[in-house]
Amino acid sequence: MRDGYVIAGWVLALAGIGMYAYRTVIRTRQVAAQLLAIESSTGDDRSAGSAGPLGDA
Amino acid sequence: MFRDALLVLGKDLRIELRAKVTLRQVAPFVVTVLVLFAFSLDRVLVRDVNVADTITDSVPVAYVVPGLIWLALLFALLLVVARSVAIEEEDGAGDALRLSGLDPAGIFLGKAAAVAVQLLALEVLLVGGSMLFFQARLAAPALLLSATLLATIGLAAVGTCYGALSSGLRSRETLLPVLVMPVVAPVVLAGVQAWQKALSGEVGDGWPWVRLLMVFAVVYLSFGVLAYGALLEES
Amino acid sequence: MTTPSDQLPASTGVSGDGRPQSRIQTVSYLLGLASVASLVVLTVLGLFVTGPDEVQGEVVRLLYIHPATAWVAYTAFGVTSFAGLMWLWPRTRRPMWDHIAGASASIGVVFTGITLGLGSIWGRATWGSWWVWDARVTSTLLLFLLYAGVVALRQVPSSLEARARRTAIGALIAFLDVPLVHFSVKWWKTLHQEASVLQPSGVQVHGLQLVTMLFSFLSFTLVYAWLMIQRTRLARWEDQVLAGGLDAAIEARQAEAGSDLVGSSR
Repeated sequence: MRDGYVIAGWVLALAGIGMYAYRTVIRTRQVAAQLLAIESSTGDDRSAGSAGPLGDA
Repeated sequence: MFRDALLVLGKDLRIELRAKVTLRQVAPFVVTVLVLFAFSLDRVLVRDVNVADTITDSVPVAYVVPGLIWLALLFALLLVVARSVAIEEEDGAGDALRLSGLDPAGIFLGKAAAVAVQLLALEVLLVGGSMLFFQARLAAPALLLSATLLATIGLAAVGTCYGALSSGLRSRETLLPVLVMPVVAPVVLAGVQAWQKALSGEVGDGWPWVRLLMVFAVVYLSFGVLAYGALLEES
Repeated sequence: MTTPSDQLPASTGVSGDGRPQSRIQTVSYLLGLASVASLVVLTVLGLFVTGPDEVQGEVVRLLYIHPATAWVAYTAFGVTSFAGLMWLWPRTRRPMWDHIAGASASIGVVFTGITLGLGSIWGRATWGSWWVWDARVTSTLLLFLLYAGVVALRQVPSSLEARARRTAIGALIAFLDVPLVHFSVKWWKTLHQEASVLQPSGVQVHGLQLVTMLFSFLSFTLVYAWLMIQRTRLARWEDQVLAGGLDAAIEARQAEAGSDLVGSSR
C-alpha cells in the first residue's frame, strides 16, 4: 500500500500548486473586473501595456 | 570617485562623531546582546566558580564565542546601516547628495566605508567583551584580522546597497533585516568558521574561509559601485 | 483555465463573444490543458504504473516530484534575475520585464517552499528526521528566504518605476549571493552526495522510473510556463488598475472641484 509519506508529499505538491493556480485565477478575475470598472468610469480605452500619464518607463 | 568617497566618508563619520548615535545606542546594545547570550547559553558559556560543571568543561569556548560575536555584529549591522540611511533622509539631505554632482560610486564607497569603520569599532568592543565575559582567548591574529576585516567590508557593502534600496520606505525597519540577513549568511558562516579554526588551533583550515570572505567583499563592492547610481535615482 | 471572456475589459483584446483573440490567450489555454493532462499522466505513472523501488520502497515515488519542483524553482529565480537585469538596462527597459520578474519570483518562492516540504518528507521517510543541515537543503532554504525577501520588497507601496528598480536590484543581489551561499554551505557540510540533478543522494533510478522522473520535469515545466503567463498578465493588469485608478480618482476630483465652485457661491 502506498506509503503515508508518499501520499503526503504528492498532496503537498499538487495541492500547493493547485491552490496557487486557483488564487491566481481568482485574482485575475477580480482585477479584470476592476479594470472594466475603471474603463467604463473614465471612458478611456487603455490598450494593454501602454504607458499611462504616470509615465512608468 | 575615490575623492568623492573620502568626502562622503568624512561627512558620515563627522555626523556620527557629533550625534554619537553608534556610540550611545548601538554600543550598549551590543554589550547587552552579549549579556543576553550569557543568559541564553547558560552553563555553556557561564561558569560558576564554585561548581564543577561538566557542561562548561566539555564545550570549548572557542567553538561558541565566534558565533556569538558574528551574530551580535549582524544585529549591529542592521542598526548601523539603518542609521546610515536615516542620515540622508533628514531635511532632504538625500536630495542634496543627489544634486551635488558627486559620483554615485564614490558616494557608495564613502557610505560603505563609514559603516565599516563603525562596525570595526563595535567589533573591538565585542571581542573585548567576549574576552572579559567568556574568557575567550585570542590566537592566530593574522587569520582573525584578515577574516574580520574582509567580512566587515562585505557586510558594509551589502548593507549600504540594501540601505539605499529601502531608503524612504516606511517599512524600512522590518524590510532591512529580512533582506539583509539571508544575503549575508555566507559571511556569518565563513566568519564563524574562520574564528573557530583560529581559536581552536586549526589555523590552516581557516584560510579557505578568508578567501570566500574576500570574494564576497569584492563581489558586493563591485556591485555597489556599478549599481549605486541606479539606486540613487529618484523614485 | 481562462477568465470568462465576456467580463474582460477591452484592453485585453478579447472579443465579446468569448473567443480568445490574442495568440497569448490561445497559447495559455493550450498550456493549461497540457499542464493538467501531463500532471494526470504523471500521477498515474508515479503512483500506479511504476512499482516500488527494490532499495527504497515506496518512497522513491517522491523522486517523481521533488527534483522537478527544485528545477522549476531554480529556473524561476534565474528568470527573475534575468528579467531584472533586462529592466535595469536602459536600452531594454520595459514594464514587461518587471512583470516577468515579479511573476517569476512569486512562482519561484512557491515552488521552493514545496521543494523544501517534499525534501523534509523525504528526509523523514529515508533518514528518520524532518530536517538535516546538509549543504543542498540549507542552500535551498536560504534561496527561499532570499527570494521571499524579493517578493516582500514588491509589496511595499511605491511608484511602479521605483518598485521595478528595487525588485531588479534586489533580485540581482540575491542572484549574486546564490553561488556564495552554495559554496560556503557546501564547505560547511556534505551529506547530499555528489549528485546530478537527476540522481539525488546517489539514488539509482532506471527504466520506467527514470522515464517517469524525466517526464515530471516536462510536466512541471509546463505548469511553470502556464503560471508565468497567468501571473505576468495579472501583474500587468494590476499595474493598469493602479494607473487607471489614479486617473479615475483625478477625474473624479476634478469633477468635484467643478461642482464645488458652483456650490460655494452661497
